[in-house]
Amino acid sequence: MASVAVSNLSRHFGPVVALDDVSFTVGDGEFLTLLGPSGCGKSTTLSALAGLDRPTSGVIRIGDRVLFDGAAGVFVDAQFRNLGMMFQSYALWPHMTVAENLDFTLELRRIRGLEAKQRIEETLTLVDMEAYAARYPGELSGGQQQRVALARTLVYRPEILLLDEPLSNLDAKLRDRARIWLGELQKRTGVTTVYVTHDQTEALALSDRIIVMNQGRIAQVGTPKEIYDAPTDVFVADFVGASNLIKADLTIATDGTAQARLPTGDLLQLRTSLPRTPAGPVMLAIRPEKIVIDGSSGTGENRLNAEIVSRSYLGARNLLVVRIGDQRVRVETSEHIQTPSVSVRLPADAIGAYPAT
Amino acid sequence: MAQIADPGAGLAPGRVVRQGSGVLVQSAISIVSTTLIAVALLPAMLQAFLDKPLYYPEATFTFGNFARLFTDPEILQTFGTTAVFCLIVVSFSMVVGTTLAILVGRTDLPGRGWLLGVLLWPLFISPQIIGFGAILAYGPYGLLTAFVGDAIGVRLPWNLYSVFGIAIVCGIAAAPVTMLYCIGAARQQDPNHDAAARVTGAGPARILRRINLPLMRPALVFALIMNIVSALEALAIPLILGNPVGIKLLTTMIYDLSFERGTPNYGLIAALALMLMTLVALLFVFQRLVLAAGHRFVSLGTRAGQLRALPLGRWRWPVFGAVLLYVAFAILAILGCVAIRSVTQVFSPDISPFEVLTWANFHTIVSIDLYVRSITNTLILAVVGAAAGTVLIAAVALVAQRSDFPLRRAVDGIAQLPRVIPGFIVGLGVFYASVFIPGMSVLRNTIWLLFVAYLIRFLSSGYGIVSPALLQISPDFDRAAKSVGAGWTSTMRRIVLPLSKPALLSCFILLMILIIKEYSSAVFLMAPGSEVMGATMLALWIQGQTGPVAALAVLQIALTAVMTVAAKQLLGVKLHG
Repeated sequence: MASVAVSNLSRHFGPVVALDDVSFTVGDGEFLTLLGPSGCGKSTTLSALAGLDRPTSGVIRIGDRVLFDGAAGVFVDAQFRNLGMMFQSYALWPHMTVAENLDFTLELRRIRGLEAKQRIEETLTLVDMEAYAARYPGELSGGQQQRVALARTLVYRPEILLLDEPLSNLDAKLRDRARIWLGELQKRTGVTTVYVTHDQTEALALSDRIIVMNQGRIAQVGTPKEIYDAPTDVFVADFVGASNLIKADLTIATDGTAQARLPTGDLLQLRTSLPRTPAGPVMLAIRPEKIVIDGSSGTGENRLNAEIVSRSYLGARNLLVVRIGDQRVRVETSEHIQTPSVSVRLPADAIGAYPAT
Repeated sequence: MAQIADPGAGLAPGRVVRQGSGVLVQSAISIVSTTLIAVALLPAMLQAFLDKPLYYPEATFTFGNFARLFTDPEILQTFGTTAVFCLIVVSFSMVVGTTLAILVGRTDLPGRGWLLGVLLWPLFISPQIIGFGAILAYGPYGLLTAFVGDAIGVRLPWNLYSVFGIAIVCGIAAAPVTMLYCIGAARQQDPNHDAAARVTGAGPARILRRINLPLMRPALVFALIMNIVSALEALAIPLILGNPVGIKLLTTMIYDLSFERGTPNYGLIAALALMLMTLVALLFVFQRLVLAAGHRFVSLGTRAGQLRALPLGRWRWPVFGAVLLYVAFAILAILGCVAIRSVTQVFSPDISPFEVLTWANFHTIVSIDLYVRSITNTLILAVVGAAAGTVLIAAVALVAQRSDFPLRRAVDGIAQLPRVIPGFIVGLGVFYASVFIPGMSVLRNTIWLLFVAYLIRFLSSGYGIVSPALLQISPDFDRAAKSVGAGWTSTMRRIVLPLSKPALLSCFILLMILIIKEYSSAVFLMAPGSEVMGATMLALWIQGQTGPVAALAVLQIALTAVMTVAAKQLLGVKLHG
């Protein structure tokens, strides 16, 4: 196993900057996730790591090997990198059986005979697919294909495992199971893993650390808890956990307490330990599940009156869309609210404030 | 293969690039294909600007050849005739081909399954056979000319030996091409388009006019251009029908000039050929421009449901009758007369064929050396040429579609180029090359010169099958192979080629069929000893050996039929649809 160090990586496609000066490291045995919307540069980063695409500039090191150095003109082709990559489409070669798919990778490493047989068996057992060795990919279900695809990347013991949206082709229920299984498998094998996804649930559940990417740059790096609880900018707050974004005006008193004035005139108290956000127009962010519905209408800290616009019943909980002044705000609650309006409380601890863009 | 994207990076000190050997293989493939095309084109291009044959040391640069093209009254008149001829051929082929494609592909016409097969027959048959058949059936002494003449009391109800007559025969030969391009487009349409139109209240006629036809536009434009190209390069039919009465087209004029006594005027021939090619190339540029907004014709989203046949209603049987009439008169009558001629001593409306039945014609073609050689040469070339052609085409397609080779776009262009080079120009080019390029003269008078010409000539035809098939194979398969450590050549050999086996088989069969029916590139390259069936038939027909020629034609049709059926039954190969 090995660690990864990426520094100042950029990728330009003509005038388009797909990746802009990205630097990060992955520790030995770590599970790192690149999270972001499509076009954020996460797949470009993965392709660069895999050697399937040549970046414009920067340096990529894996272990003590320099795989790419733009300035020195070093570029090691994918075929020599000894990494494992799993594709969103699985890319199992349809004319080869499951065993042959695995065996091809060993053949390229001149691992033949008994050892090859043992390794294939071992790896297929690891992913619970030993009974399917003689099947063709076309005869397997989506979930089984996914396991075989993973087995194919593990069988030759690559230094790093690269996973490109490996769960996105599974249906919702299977995806949950596969996610848990994948997490366990990674712990067991201890292989350094870089995982690319646009699904925050996967990222939060699986990762040791998450890198949130936006428009070719890194927006935030942190543990899942840090990313969720303390997003450092509006984008992260919005993308991870889909915060409500509310326009307001920030004032900071001499004692350090901060207040935000909504366009309605209401004043909200904010926590004192705000990130360095200057006074002036700001964007407040609060997650739907952090807003408290308070049946007893009245006044109090950060208590606002809201008119209910729509209700959706989601089974485990209810999603309300309420209107505070001109702004629509999503609220999640377990209660069934029947009244046309409601009093909501926005706890100071749950509110983030970011400079308005 | 990852390439060095930035040429400057290659000069940086301490460069440690590890790349596979794929680039070498890719370069080799590119060089071979480029050389082949250059062999066909360069000598002809040079010749067009020289006042004497290329191999004369004292030949000098001149525009004189081109000047003559536009001043010589005979040539100018030929331009006019060719234009009228093309207009008729293309109109006939487009109207008939599109109509038949829609009828067979989209409506509930009775018997549309087998009708499609029959209607596509001319595709697999040399045009000269259709020309022979047309003379036997509709010529001044043709069977049907006599029958229809007797029936309506006119001695000659039509004149086959006219520009119009020649053009209609060429149109009959070309209509299946239009059909082939259109039927795919008609059938591959998303049934949801139809369903959506039906739900909004459109009737079948309106769906056809407003939805189906506009969506077929790329196919129609492509068919139109292919039709113009094939009309421009038509040689056999104008030669056997037009030459006896002095009707000259550009192609027959080039043919006549080349076989003049003494030293042919190579400069003028090359200039004519070059002009013809420029015309064809312009057509393809036009096609690119017209179809620039390709996404407007691409079906979006997933395909679901069955394409519902448009009901013809009470027109169903009358339309069926009309299609049968077309099949009877444009296909069966023509081929039937060739078949009858092959088993009769003489052929005349006044003599019942049953009184003059004979196997003599077939006996001739298996006993006289010239015929036997033509047949064996054709078969050797079909097998070897198709095999070598498939290998070449696969290699070129892999470089063009499946590599990071810096010049892969150019390779793709080169593979498409022979499509715009009329067959006899390829023949002429290879002939020039054999005269001009040292070492190539050993190939002269052997079938291997034809082999070279066929490789060039059919590069685009096979590429047209293999290249789209490669596009259907997800690039993730290659990327996966690369990521587990495979280089370009092993990725291609172990992953991509096995996955494209059906396309390669189709390509092989198609090349065999094309080589068996080929004549136009062979007429300039054939020498005693290297005769092939297509060109032998043409030469002997002109000499009046109609019986043996008809027998050869029947043999050619039989060979092609056996191969098509075998391909379908044994290999499951589809040559169309």
